Amino acid sequence: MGPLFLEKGLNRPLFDSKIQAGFPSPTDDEVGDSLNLLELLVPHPNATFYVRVVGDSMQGAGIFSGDILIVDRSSKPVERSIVVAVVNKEFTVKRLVYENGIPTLVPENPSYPTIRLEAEEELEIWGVVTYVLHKP
Amino acid sequence: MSEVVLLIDCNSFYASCELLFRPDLKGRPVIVLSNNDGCVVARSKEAKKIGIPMGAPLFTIEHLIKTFDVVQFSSNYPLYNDISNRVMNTLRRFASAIEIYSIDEAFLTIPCPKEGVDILDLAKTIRQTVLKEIGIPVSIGISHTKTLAKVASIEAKKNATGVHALIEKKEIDSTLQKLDVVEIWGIGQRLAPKLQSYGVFTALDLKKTDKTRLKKLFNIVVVKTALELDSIPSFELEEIPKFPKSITCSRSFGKPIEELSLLQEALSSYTAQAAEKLYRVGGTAGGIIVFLTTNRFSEPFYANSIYIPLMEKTFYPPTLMEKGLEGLFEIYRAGYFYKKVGVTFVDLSPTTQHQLTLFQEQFQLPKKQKELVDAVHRIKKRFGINAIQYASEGIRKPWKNKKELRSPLYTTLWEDILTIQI
Repeated sequence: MGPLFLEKGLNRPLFDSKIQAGFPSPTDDEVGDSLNLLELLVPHPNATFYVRVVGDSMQGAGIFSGDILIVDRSSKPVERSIVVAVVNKEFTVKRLVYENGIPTLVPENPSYPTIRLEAEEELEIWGVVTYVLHKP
Repeated sequence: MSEVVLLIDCNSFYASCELLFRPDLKGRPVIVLSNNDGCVVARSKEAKKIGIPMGAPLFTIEHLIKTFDVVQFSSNYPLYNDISNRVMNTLRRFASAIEIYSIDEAFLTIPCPKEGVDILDLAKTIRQTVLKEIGIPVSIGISHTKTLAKVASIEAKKNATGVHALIEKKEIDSTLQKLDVVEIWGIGQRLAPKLQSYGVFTALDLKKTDKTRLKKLFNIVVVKTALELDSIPSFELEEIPKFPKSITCSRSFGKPIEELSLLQEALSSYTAQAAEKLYRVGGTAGGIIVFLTTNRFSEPFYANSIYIPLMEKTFYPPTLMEKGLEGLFEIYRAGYFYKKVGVTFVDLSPTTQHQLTLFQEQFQLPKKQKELVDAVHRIKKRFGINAIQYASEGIRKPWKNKKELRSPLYTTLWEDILTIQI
């Protein structure tokens, strides 16, 4: 599916004026499809999931209670990615920060603590948050 | 050898789909139940470990459920279908050809890797990619033919890596020697006894049996299977899904039903579901079979079915329902407690096909009918399958099993997407 979305957005010049009497329309020189928002927001639809969040621990990152997150599982999590993570068998959404090479999950609200893994605790990065859908 | 065949099999597929959105259940035995929650149709590896058999009726495993605190789900087919499509799309990237064999299995052919590239490494990459991007664990069997790939996948399930290749002759033979004929893909319980009576007990025996002798004694499928075990490709990959020959919808009731009116409701509802499927494959039906049965094991027993030909092929649910109900009226007998009623559409053809027939005018989908069906379809898609229904399906639906263990439609309904407390 991915490549289809991308191809659609390419700005290909197509010369499709038919030969006829009179002036050809000057707008026929180059045509392009209208912008499709999904091309921008969901480049990998096959690996993309949507998640609704409840809570205010990430409001500093512009994620508010009730927002919908676009989560791309094919995107590689890097330092400071906002991720959907599983800690202690529970989902959370936090910023991924490495402290001396050890991954920690940092909230974007001073009233919440940073999540540091205890020994034996497992961290699974479920997906990377690529966009936030917020209704003002 | 220019290509190899891979069989990719999603592990405990339905259970894995549920676990993807419920990490809290990790490590617990999880089972998924069939429609109407009658039987086990999927088990997590923990559920397999405690001895829950595949297909077990729920009442036979109640003690296990209690003892081990087993988590139960009703089937969530919209979810499983969506996740399956994602898995298949991911696999497509690696394949020169793909056959989607079932909701959780696919055959792939890939070009034989270059010298120095380990086929197992490639398989591990495929496995890792599906696990990362979709979140579903798969096993991969690799060999020269579909039948051998299937054998390899049995081995793959036992491996920690989840992949297994049968490439070298010596290794193939030693594996086939340990494999009972009944385990071979396409042989099964039906053909095994006859093969055994001719002294064919293992897959290796079948491979070594003279093919002309096999041809005399068995059907062509057995001959082809034997060739495939001998690394000679004989079953092609079926890349284009076959247009279905029939569509059936039928369920066992929550409790036995005697009244005709309730059977009518249930039949209407199943007909609507089958019609929805007919719409999705873009076909029309030329006939309907309606069937009903009481419990096989209790008296008095009664079962019957009826075939109703349709004057004109149709996809239109109200027509299909009307004809189905006529059929039900014919075969219904009062005084019995029915366990199941169902409907099968037969003589199916793709709508595009009939537009090419002589009677084009007559066969073109009536515009108003199509608009109605499209509208119903869109409403269901947007607001869920229970948002709209035909009146004849009834309101209270006492025939429907009330148990609601179905997980949310995480990937197909906006109202149901995963919610995370942050």
